[in-house]
Amino acid sequence: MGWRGWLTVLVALAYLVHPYLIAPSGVLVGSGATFPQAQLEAWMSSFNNAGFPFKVEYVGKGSGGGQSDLSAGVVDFICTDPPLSSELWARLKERGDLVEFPFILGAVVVTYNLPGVDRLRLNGSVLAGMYMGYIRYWDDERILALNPGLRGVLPHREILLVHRSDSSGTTFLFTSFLSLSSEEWRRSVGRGKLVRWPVDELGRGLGGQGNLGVSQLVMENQFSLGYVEWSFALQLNMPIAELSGKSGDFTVPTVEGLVEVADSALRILDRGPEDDWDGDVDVLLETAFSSGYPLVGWSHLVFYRGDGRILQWLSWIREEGTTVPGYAPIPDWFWEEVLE
Amino acid sequence: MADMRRLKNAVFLSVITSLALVGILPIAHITGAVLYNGTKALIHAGPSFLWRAPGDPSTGEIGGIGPAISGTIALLLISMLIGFPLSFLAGVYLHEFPQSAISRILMPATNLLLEIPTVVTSMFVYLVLVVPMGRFSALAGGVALSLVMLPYVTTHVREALDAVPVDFKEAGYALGLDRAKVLFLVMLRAARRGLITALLMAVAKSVGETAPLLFTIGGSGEIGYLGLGRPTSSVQLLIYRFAASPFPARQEAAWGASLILFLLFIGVFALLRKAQRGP
Amino acid sequence: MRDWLRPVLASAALLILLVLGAMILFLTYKSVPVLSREGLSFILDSGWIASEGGEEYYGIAAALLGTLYTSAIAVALALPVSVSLSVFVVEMAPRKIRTVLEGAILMMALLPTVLYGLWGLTYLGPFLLRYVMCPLHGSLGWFPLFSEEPKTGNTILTAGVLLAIMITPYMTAIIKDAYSSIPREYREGLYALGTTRAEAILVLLRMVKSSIAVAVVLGLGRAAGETVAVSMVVGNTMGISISPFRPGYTISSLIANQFGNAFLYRLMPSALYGSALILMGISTAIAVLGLWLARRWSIKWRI
Repeated sequence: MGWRGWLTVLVALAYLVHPYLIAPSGVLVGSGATFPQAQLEAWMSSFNNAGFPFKVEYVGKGSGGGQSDLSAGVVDFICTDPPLSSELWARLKERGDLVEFPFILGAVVVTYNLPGVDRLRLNGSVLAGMYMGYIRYWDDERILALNPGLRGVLPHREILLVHRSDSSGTTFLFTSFLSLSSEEWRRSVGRGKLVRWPVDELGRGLGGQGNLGVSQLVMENQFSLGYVEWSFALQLNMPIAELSGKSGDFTVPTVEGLVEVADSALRILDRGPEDDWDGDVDVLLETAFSSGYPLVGWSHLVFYRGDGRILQWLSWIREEGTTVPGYAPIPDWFWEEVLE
Repeated sequence: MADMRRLKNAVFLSVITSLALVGILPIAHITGAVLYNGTKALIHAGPSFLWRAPGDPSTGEIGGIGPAISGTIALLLISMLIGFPLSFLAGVYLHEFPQSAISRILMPATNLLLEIPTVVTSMFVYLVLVVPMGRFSALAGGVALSLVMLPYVTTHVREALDAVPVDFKEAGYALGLDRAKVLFLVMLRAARRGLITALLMAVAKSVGETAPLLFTIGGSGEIGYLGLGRPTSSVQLLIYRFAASPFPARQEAAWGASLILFLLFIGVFALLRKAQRGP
Repeated sequence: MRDWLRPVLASAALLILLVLGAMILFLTYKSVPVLSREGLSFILDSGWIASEGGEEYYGIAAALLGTLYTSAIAVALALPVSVSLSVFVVEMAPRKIRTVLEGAILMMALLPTVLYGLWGLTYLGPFLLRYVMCPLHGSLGWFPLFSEEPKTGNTILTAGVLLAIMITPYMTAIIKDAYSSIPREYREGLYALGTTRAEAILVLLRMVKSSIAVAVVLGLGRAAGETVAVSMVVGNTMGISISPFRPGYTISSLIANQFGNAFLYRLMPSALYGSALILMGISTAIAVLGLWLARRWSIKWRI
């Protein structure tokens, strides 16, 4: 190796060392749910340019992925839609001063790819039938019964059902809703972040990674249907199906509706950042189910107290962060409780 | 009868030709697609594509892949600094002591290593580096890549040295040089071309692989290289993630990134071809 | 001792062996929980039931079959193409074109896999859906393989075709090296006997059939292990079917999709390390077979 070889090695070493010389700052690393991803990305891109001594990085890989990273201890904070299970909460709490609380509201919407259909009404039991596989074609009588105006419009084509392939809080919310609406679904599939999709075995399922993956698959495949966080459908101009809860009225989500539901759910729950939040989704969903748009969700922030940077970031969010379309802010009184 | 044979001959040859064309068509189409879509994205995003961070996709802003580029450079360097010396030494060992017990195991072992799916390497590094360090890191990614390049480089180094005529070595010993001197003064010079090929092969592998990075580097494209022990992003992983995004801005960024990756690859590839074909 | 070189070299060699050993040990050790609990049904049964606290059950039959299915499609398609490509390059192409083709083949072998994936997702999937799957289903729908109504471009077939493209250069390298190393005299002798070119080529191909077998075996191994490109186009769903028009899973794409969230569950990490072990077992078995054949027939090639 001549002098040029050594010079190359030297330059390489210099490059690998340079961050230690010029950027003593660090990164606050988070991962988890893709449900709040669009909101987090918006916050991050302003925060990271606001001259703070550290940057925030978030990898959306699903609520399960976030909880997995927290268990393995490889991130600073995580976001997860369903809270940690009591068992995991207790286990991780032993390692340090763990806190958890919902920090952003959203909704799961059902979106579809049906050329020429811009208004579609569905309910939990029909959705359960579709994902179970026995509602096979778009012009099924059970779909037409909810959409009498679409007779002759809905095609005789098989429905392609898109779902998440990763362990996902959005899936947890969606399957909880199906379980609430359909006894059969509750018995044969149940709910979870990762479930066994009956349509997969029939060859009519398709798995996507993250809310982004599901959105893309729905957009690319005609005659498909899937569920995503509200903001993704809004940003991508995807159609949103009207859903009905207990009342039987068909609606799409609204910001006011979300805040109202969250407000009453938080009052019923009466928990703080130090508490175990297991089971809160039931309260939230049942509140939503009986009041209006049934698929309301929130995402939790989980981290170990002691890293001042997270609090710095949270205070910034509280003061300067704006809420992007498709999400709603957590009621003010709750934020105050948390930050104090 | 003769006509029949002529006809069969013609049919057979045209089948061969068209199948060969079919075989080569994809790479032509891929190259075209990358150049076309990539250039379009680069023009749309402007030169700042090379140093900015990804934009906010909901506004349709492409932004750039600067952090991912800095991460990819770091990963390339780390993997080369770890992987090349190690496999170089091992290759020399295989050449010098082909009959030793270690060589007898190492020879098939490199072949085995070559066949290990790279995603498995990633899982392994996650277990032995990421979890104990408590962080996804550039170091973990570099180590995973160096594990992938090991068998290729080792084999190429050994073959390069084996290809040097035995006279060279004997001449060296006849001059009274010891093993190390013969190796460094005679053999490495004589095998130079082969060694350069090995080096470039290592670079090509490091640039070409994505799966080793899946569970090791942790970054999503926002942060660049910030130190060995910190998470980082890479162009390859960014393409993998952005390609599955429904946002047109993200997909454009993926194509722009794939053009950058392609150009980097073509640079290495051109050098490799040159080294293989001689002056 | 003047020979300080040997210990230095030997330690590098040993380190590599150590890493490989550690890898195999780790994988085995990590797979014990799932294998001891589920035994053979881990690979014979299909299902991916994850639950925190509750019963977990993992059966990778669907993914295992997906791996075998996509790899088989890949080799079946790549074989005639790489044989033709080898013959064309060695036998028929003018010198200039030969150089270009050889360059292109090497380029295909080394091209970053994620570029294949991006291309497969954007062009190959939609193309196959529109011009292959739909017409086949339309005209030959009675045939069980094509009876499934194609609904998406992300299928087993797409993954198989993409893999075929990716392993073609690799198989071609092996076959071409053998074919071009047939001594000139054989070829001339054949022409002297008055054979046509086609007949000569067929005879010559028969002489390298052992290399072709090795190429098939090693191509199969390559296809089975590929991850990133496959997981971008295969559809990522659990289901067993003979229809190549359905979305599916492969072991490697299962790992790519699930490993990120595995540590949330008690048994899933073990299930994934177990899958990796099985994947590695398949690749290794295939590689060992290929290398054994190669050695037996003393076939040499370079990547």
